[in-house]
Amino acid sequence: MAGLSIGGYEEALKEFSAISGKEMDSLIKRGLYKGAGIMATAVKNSVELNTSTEATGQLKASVGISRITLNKNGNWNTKIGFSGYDDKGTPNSLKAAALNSGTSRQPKTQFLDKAVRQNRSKVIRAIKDVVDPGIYELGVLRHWNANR
Amino acid sequence: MSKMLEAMIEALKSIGPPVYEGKAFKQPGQYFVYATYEGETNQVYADEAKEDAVYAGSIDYFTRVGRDPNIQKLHKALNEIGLSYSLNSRQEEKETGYIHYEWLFEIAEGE
Repeated sequence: MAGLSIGGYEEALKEFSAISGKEMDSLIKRGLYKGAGIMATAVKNSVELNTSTEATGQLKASVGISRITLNKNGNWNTKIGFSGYDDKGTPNSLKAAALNSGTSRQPKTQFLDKAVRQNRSKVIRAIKDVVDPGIYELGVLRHWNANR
Repeated sequence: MSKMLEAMIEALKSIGPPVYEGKAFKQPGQYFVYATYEGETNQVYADEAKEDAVYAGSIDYFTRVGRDPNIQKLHKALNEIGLSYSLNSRQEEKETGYIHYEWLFEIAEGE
């Protein structure tokens, strides 16, 4: 019978532990911010494509990125949403929901769902392009400092 | 049309309220609207070739009944056919009095 053994994970855990802390948090935040920026731009473009030429632009302008925070599971995350109200006092988040999911009076555009689907891979790649080299650098520096 | 999509449409029809494809406006009472998204929403690759693809869509239910029993009937019907779905949003329309539920579903190619 064929067998399989996996090794090296304890060493890998030690490596990751050694580069954890403020430097790692800063690296992750930079990656998240880069990815969130790409998605926010995509959402804004999608709003513009799916609203009429007579739209005031308030919904597009309301797209923003929330502060990067640490959740209860120890993961850094951020959100993209629609803040504030338009000049008629209607919450922009409500307008976005109606535009995306439709109502009994207007068809759905799925502008938000499409933007997320079409840019998910791009955002993941952008985050990896920041975080992966950063992890390598932190690891190399740690080895260099340890062996001086 | 995939077998799963056909089964989903039949499941919606079995609940009672009218079922429409794409869009429906100015309806008098409760109703369902289903739609499928253009193109694939996800893919699975293996050995550098595409093995599978996923198509997605949405089911919208408009009702003026609070705690509408049709919601549970919908969940039961969709679970019975084995459809992968999740509740995406619930919105209240003040002007019309409708409660609008939106579920997203996914169907694997060949299902």
